[in-house]
Amino acid sequence: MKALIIDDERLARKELASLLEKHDTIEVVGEASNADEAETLVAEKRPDLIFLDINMPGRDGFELLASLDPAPQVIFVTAYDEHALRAFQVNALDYVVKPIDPDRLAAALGKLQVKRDPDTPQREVLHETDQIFLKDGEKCWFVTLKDVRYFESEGNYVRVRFEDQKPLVLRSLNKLEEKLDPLVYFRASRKHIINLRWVDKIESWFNGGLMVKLKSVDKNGQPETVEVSRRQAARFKDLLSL
Amino acid sequence: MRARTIYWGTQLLAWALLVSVIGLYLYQDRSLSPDQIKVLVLFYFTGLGISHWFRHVIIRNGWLERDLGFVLPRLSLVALLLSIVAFLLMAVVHDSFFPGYAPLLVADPLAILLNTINWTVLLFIWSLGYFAYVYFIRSRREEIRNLRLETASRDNQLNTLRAQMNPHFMFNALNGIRALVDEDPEKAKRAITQLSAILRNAMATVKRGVVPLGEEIDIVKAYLELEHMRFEERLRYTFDVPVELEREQVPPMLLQTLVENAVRHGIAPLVNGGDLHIIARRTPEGLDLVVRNTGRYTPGEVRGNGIGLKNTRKRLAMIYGGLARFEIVNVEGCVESRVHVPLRTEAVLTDPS
Repeated sequence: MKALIIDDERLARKELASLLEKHDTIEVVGEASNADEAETLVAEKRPDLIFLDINMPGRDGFELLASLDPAPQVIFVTAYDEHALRAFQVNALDYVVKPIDPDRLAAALGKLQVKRDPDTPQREVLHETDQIFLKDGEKCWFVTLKDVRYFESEGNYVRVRFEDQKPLVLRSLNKLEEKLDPLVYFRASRKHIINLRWVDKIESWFNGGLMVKLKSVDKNGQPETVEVSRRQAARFKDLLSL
Repeated sequence: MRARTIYWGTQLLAWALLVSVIGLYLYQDRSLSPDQIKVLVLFYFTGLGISHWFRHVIIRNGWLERDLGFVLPRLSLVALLLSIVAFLLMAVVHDSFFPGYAPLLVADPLAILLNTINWTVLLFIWSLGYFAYVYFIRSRREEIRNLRLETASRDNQLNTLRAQMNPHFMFNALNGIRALVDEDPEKAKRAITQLSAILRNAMATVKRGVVPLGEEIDIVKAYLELEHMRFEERLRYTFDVPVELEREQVPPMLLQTLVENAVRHGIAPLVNGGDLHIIARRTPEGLDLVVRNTGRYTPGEVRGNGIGLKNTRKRLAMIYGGLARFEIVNVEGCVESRVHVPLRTEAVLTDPS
């Protein structure tokens, strides 16, 4: 597994790297000392795993992670940050504390999923099986894209609907649309991107638009619905007829 | 809910016990007739009812909160009044439901008097028992409450200590030392000594009022060297403290708190790090301590910041009254934390006594 160490302190990176030497399955392919460096390195090296310090100058670990699509597997590393620790525990994210206990590190590594598709070429498109990291206030999630039913824009934010959750995250719907697999995710209107796998029924709507009923139900037991604008309706029909 | 169960349990049992003892006594005396048994049952329920009424009177008048000197005469009086009620009640029930038996309501003043006195004594003893029971329960509750309070105050002390130890710094330093053990063992040893000095100082500080500025500077130096181990070239610092000021007295951990704040909120968030200057100056009125760091101060912006500053203000006010000053200002792209404390000698001079 290719791993990246992201920590602002050189000694901390060195310490972790030396602990990882004992693990043959992990190959450290790079180190970054802040979020910007890390972002470039992730794009370049495509690591399977990152070790991520939360407390960093500039953007912190959570902010970095939210900007990485798809999100790699993550083991958080922190010294003592009550906020971060609470987030880890609440969301069952994997983390180790500094100074790192070698046994604890081994346990965290043991829990990692095996590398999924070793030969995947570098790609910019987000697949259904990819994970994205979402953070809304103290809560955070790793969500597999196929679980997301639709994205809904709210000002500068996007509300992500999956399972019974609907966190509001700082993202742009346009940027998301560029990255998402166009065969699965469809820009239904200015406000919505829907996951076609969740589409159940389609009905005509006013002004030549369409009303899409999803396989999911809202809290009243009614199917969730998303409107497709007139402009997109034709494309939508084309896409589905394929 | 539980107290109620205990009360009723005790109440039912105690009266049952009393009735059994009387029954047993009569039985030995060979005078326990069916008639007597009926009277005993009647007595049992009258006792229960009347004593429960007694409890109601005690609670409603708030006598449980008064002292015994106030309560005892009132208890006797109520016991007397209730005993009359008890006697009348028992007699009426007895005479109307058990016809053919010797009536209790007879015009024999002596019998009535004896019966009433019996009831009075009985009810009075009952009320004493009730008070003892309530006092017992309350003292237990008080004990538990005191234990809780003690734990809370201990938690509080622990929190203060934890804040002083700055766990974020501590664990990061330890992590750095772990890496240094391989890279530079000599440096690792020095770092352990410095960390010990800081820990020892944090623990001792609680007890000391003032320390020589020189000692405080030593701790700040140890702290900064450790932070430098972590931040490396991102943290650059200088001291400008004239030697002759090293013996001046300052509150312990005062300068240290300001420097920690400057590193944590000023320099740590900067990707390229920053500079830190620690300056001490003698002024006509006293001693100026200045910590200047790269960055910008926006009040209320940084989380966790408020406590350290508030504590600093509070401590200064406690030690010097209105004679000390503390401010944080932005100057030419830097943040300056400035403390002015009166020199000891001058503090005494300005004190009219």
